[in-house]
Amino acid sequence: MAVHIIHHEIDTQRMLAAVSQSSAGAQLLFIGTTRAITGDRVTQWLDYEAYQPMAVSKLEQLEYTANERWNICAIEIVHRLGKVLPGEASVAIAVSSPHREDAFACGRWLIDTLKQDIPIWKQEHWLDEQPQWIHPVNKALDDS
Amino acid sequence: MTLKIKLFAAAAQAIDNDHVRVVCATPVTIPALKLLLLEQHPALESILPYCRFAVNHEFISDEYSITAEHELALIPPVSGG
Repeated sequence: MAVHIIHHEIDTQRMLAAVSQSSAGAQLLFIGTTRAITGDRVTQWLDYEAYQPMAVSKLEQLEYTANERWNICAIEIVHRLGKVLPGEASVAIAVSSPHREDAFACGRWLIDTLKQDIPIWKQEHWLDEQPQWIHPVNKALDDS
Repeated sequence: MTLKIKLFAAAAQAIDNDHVRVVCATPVTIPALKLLLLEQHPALESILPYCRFAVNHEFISDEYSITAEHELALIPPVSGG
């Protein structure tokens, strides 16, 4: 399977090589990186945690579904856990396809769905604030 | 019967542990389990309404019957990527 959860730097060149195929006319690489500035807050680093066996299983399901929906040659999905510094990659997705439309649509769907359904969480280590687990309802939680 | 529930992120932080145990009669459904969780672990109150449950690495619906054989996890809103 082309799904990996790792604790070290993501090797995007390896991922591109892994999706390289003679039937492909397009290779797409998405890299999600740690943002240093969010509004007026400064991030020192992010700390990622996963429910690892479920995350791998759900990512493999995404890969399977993507192959059903689009004309794809190969997919590589890598998510990094632990401490990720600003500018470093926390997630990378490589997709190859005979034509570019499928790679763009599939890559977009993979990262959007990953962010909704894969049991991985980030903790923000802000400058001058307590670390904060990020959950998409944090605003409601903070207000309660 | 005692069910073990894996915890992550803010849920684990609230209890200061990576799991909780809930005493209950099985099989049990999600709404009933949520009430027992709140009773036995009130520190989860702020995060629990936003969480989903997973059984054997799959999200489950409220009608699902949970037994002690299942691997059970509380899944707070995810933030990977």
